Amino acid sequence: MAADPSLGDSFIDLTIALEQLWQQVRRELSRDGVKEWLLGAPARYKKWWLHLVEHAPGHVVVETALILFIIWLIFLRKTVDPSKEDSFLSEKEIDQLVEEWQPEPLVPGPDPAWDEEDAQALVVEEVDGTRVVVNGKKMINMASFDFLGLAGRGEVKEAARAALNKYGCGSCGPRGFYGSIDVHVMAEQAMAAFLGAEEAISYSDAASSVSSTLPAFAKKGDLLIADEGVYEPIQTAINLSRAQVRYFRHNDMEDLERVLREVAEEDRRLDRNEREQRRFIVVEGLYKNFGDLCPLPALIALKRQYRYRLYLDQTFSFGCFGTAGRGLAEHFGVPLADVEVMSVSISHALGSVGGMCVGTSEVVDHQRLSGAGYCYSASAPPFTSSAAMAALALLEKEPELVTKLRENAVWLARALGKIPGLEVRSQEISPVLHVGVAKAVSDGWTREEEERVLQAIARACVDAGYAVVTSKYTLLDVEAVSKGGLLPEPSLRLAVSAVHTRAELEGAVEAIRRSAAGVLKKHAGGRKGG
Amino acid sequence: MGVRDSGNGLYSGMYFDGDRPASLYNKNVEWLRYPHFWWLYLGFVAFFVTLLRLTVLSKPEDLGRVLTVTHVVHNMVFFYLFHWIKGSPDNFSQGEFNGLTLWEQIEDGIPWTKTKKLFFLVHTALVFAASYVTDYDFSYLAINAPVYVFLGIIPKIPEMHRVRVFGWNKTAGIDDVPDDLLSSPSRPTATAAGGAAAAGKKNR
Repeated sequence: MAADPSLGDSFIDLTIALEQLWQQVRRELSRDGVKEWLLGAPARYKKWWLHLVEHAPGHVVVETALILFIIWLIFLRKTVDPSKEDSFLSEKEIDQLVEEWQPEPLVPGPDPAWDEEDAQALVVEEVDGTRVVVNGKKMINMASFDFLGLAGRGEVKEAARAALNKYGCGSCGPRGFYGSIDVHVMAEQAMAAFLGAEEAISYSDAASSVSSTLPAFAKKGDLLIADEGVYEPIQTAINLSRAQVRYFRHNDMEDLERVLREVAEEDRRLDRNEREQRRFIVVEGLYKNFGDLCPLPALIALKRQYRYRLYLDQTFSFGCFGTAGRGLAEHFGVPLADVEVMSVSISHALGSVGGMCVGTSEVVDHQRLSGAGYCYSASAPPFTSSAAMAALALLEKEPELVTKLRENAVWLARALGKIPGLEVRSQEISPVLHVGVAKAVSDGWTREEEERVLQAIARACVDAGYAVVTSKYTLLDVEAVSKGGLLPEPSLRLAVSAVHTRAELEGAVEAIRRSAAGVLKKHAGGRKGG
Repeated sequence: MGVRDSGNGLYSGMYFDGDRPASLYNKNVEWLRYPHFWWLYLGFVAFFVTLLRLTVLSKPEDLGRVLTVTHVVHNMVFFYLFHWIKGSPDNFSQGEFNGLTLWEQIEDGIPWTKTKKLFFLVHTALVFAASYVTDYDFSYLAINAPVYVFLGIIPKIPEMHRVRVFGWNKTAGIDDVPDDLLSSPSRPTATAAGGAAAAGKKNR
């Protein structure tokens, strides 16, 4: 094969060129070459610069600016290390903070309003319907929220016993980790079917159910419009949700409308689309701290008009209102679909332990991943779900329990209202009664004074054989006041049940009347003398 | 929570070592601090340049156009991802980051960290390359410079933290509420029993 002559020539040219290049490099990198280059550099640079300034000033300006910025960024601007928190405070600032620091007590001092003796001394030893044995003494229970008397019913106890035998006691795991027992699911379905809702989700505790549900839906940036009288679990839920909250005056629909109108005006002023923000109205069905009902129809009308979602806490109203005990919606005759998120409790009227949230599938399914109490707490002990199902079946079979409860509540409220020196602050039909010292008598008293008087009345009732309590508010409730909540007035809190007999109620009224008379007389005497 | 001796390797102080301050917990953005992300990021840019060079703008004199296109596209995408999209896909942060863009979420908004400086540098290097290759020609500068300044630099400076110009991209309930009202709610009007509603509500 004859070699291509041009190829050979090209090859020779290449080697010659490389040789020349090599010689040039050697020359330039030799000591003399480098020296020559360095000496000529300033002149060359100056010539280059002037040429540039003359021909392309933009080049100079922009490139200089960029180079200066890069130098500043890398060398002059101090890099902050976010993992070293101390770098944000100078030594002096740290010293100053340390000096100014005043340690707060780990446990705040005892609340003078709490009667320490009473709070811990009453230990229930036996329970038989409304009859209890407390510290060895037989009493009639006027304090427990066993509204329909279902906690002591044979069927409920049997169901609990059977479940205990079948599943053992605790479920020992959260719902997502083999803690879902079939009775949980059955209880949820039973509750949803009973209320006519799509689905229900069960939590192991009523208070944590309330505290978990609202934060699952409302986050930072959302708006909650809450009644100022909501009780502690809802206050916790509002705090946990990090949402913006506005309070309206307790049960005052006009004030609620004022708040709704203000928000709407703000929307207009800020040119804000209302769909950018999740908005809820937060109310209880029956307010635990006040014993009055939420005016649901007016509320729903407002909610529809201003397009808010409604969160209704039926912890104390489920099982106590409505012809069949379905709660406030049935009582007022409004469709359940108007309430987007509803919490019910199986710890109160149903006599078991736990809470549930009821709503559409969307609402309930969301909580299976976002409901804190559902995801992170161990699931309810299976026997509580079985007991709840049995209680629900009883309620369905015996709706007259609700009527009986209503009768008892009304009778008791009226009878207590006749006691001189006391006044009933709750609504007649409420099974949770709040009885306080009449305004005429307590005029000029301090809150602490009123609380002590009521505690003395309660103690006297206990001595007479009727277990009565005073309402107590934690420091959290007191704190909530500074945030817009309402601290309820001190009161005796009675819970009436459907299984209270007339004789028991009459006895309770008589005991309260005598106790009140005695204590108030003594107090009046003490005041005059002291 | 003192200064921790976290060594001086490339990844020192990055992985969880039991003492990490909250500013580094945001799962949405903490991955931006790692060197392997940086390599991938620069790799993407290099890949884009190579792609353009090999396909559409392959003539030698097109290098300026290639780099300009890279610079502009890079800034637009970067602006959208880091300075426009808000929030975090983390469902369990209770909406903490709902009103914050990605840049504002990085390291809790602490400015001039290594991560942020590196982002500044990449932006600057891109505009430098694009302008240098086009010899600072005015028509190219007219595109590159505003894109660099307004999409690249201005949104990143700490003075623009949580600033929403003309109300663009603001979040209802977070940006239009004064900060003190966010943490303490408004009270209802006078709650004295039987009192008529006082005119207006007082914001704290």
